[in-house]
Amino acid sequence: MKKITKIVAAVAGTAVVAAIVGLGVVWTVPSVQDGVMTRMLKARAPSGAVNPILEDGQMHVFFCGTGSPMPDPTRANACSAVIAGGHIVIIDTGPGSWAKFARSRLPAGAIDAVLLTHLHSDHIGDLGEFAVQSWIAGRKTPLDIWGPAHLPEPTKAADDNGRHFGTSGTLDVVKGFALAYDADAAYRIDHHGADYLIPNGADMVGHEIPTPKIDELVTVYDKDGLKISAFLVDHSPVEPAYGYRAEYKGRVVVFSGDTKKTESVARFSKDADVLVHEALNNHMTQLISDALKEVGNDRLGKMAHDTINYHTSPVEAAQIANEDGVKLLVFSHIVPPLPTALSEHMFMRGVADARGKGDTKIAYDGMMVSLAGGSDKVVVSDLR
Amino acid sequence: MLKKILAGVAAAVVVFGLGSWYAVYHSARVQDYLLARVLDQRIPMPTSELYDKDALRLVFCGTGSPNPERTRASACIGVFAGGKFFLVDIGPGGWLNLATWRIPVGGITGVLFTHYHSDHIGGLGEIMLNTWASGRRTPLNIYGPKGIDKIANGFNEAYELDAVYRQAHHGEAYMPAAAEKANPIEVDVPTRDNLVTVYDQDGVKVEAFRVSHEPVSPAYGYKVTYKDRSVIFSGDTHKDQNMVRFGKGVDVMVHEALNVEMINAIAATLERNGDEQRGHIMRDTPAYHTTPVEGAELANEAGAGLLVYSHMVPPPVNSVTESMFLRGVSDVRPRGVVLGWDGLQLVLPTGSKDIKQIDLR
Repeated sequence: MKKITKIVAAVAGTAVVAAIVGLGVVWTVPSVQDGVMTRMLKARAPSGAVNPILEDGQMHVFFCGTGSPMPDPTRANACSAVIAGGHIVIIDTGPGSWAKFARSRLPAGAIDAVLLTHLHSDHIGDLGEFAVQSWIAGRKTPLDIWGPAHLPEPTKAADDNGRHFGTSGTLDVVKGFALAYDADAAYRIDHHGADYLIPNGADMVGHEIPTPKIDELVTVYDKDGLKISAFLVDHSPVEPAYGYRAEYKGRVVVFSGDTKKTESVARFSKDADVLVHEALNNHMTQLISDALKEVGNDRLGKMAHDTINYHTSPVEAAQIANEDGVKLLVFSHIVPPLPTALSEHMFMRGVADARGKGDTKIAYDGMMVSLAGGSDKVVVSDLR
Repeated sequence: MLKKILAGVAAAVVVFGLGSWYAVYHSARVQDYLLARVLDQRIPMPTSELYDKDALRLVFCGTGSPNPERTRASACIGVFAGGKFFLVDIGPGGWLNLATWRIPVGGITGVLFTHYHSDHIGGLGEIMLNTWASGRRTPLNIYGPKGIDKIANGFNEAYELDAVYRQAHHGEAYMPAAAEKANPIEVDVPTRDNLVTVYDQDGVKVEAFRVSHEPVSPAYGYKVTYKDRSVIFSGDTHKDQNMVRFGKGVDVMVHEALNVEMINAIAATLERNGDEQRGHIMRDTPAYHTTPVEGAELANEAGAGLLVYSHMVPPPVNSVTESMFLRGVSDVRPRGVVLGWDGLQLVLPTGSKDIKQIDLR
């Protein structure tokens, strides 16, 4: 008995001494620190070799922003990435989303197009970041950006300064970012050399999608088997606003963009493998609006209330997914933020009843959905 | 007997626990009540002591660099003094930090740009929008070197439609259209020898001077003085004596820092992984930044009360990398050094030498 105690004590003593020595070594010996850091870097740094995800014959959807303008440290604003056929196409570039994309270690140099669903700030804010960073990561040709066209006529009279509000479109947004980031591109080419940062890659080229009829699909991207088409949704007064349908090797993913419940998403999601739908819980948003007013913040209270009328509730989205026979319904662009399990539970109130047997997921930043060609499997993975 | 009582109490606790759990998860009214209470705690108030006139306050809303790091946004520091509120640079992620800490931003006075690298400008659109939504009634003044008009025009143009939507949706009374825009004010610092006044009202004085971030030129540092307290910001620069010259006797020196050994280790890793492109880009960066040891030397020479590192390259991610980042600093400057973090607030009360640290996280 005594002997065992002694052995245990000796082992424990050795362990403590080893731990202290280990800590001392890590804290005081530069070469050990450098070794630790190098090992960490190898695990973190993006690889320069061709990333297997670009050649695996699957369509992947990565969620780089699943939140909304209501600030949420865990969710960036709107951003999804479609990865297929060696290309990465970004759908919306909301504020904070580049940082989420960067953490995934996906090969940013393969980003060759951005599709905007509409031109609200929470869908465009990181456009400059995506353009600069994908260029730094190795993109050598200009970045194509597709989105809604400007309106042919001003909808309102000019203001006192002679400005017509509401007449700009994707070209203007792209021009704005290009102007603001022009100095940055010049600095970088000067500093690193045109051999490393091909000046062409710094360019952003805007394209306005010719506005289709309400029941029409218009193809905006078609490369190496990845085809993405746009269709109109209803986010009035924001017009036009688009949803997108991505197809690759017989698999289909539909993105609703921002919309109230509309027939058009239902029409183009028939038998889709995955429907990524926006969702706003009216009831919770109303509670937020009330709370804001109660603490004396009438401004934000009113604004929270105003948002209710142009979005889709989780239950409504579930109804669409169910009618269409969608395999997996994913909620993204989630309003309000869901900081706890309880709030997620509240957010989903009524969804299970409406959805029946179909699968439903609340997307999170870092989630990826993978669809292998010639199969009907839907695989969800976590890249956080 | 005792056993029975204990069993009874235990059973009651279990029943109460299950009951509460059931109520929380299944009673809509209980959930709604809880949400309303949580919201009361979280939602920003329109006012805050940050706007009080008893101190100069700094809020570090972005202490990182373009290298992605989840705990550090890109360049962003709030300066509150005499009821004014300036931001020194506004990189991506800065706004989210301010919103998370419930900082009321509607009272913003202006944005001071040190230069126009993407990690210093990327959050401007968000700040224009959110200060407007929080009550700003006049266009947002943005100050900076030559080129400021392109920054303003670019973001104004990119966010134009968004502003229209929001105004149409919420109404002119809440979001007056004229206020949404950024208003560019070019600051001309003709030579390295000038200290140019950018703003001087109600005891708050902002001055700009040149630093060295070639090929980015001109690049500025800023000095903010409020009554008897002062702070100097290096912006992005390699070691520049102007920080000493214009920072003599400041209470706080906020200096950028790049650790060369760590950057070389990252470059080597990228190159080993076959990413020659980014390896090369990494190796170019030390030439136009300052090492932590050099920053400490400058702070000593200037006699700064406190040196705070911000805009750290690479961003330290844990205590080991923090200790590596600061290697050699304590030999030069044993005291008065803080490695900035997102959420650090410094309070410099007027009429005193105190510098109080608060953690907003």
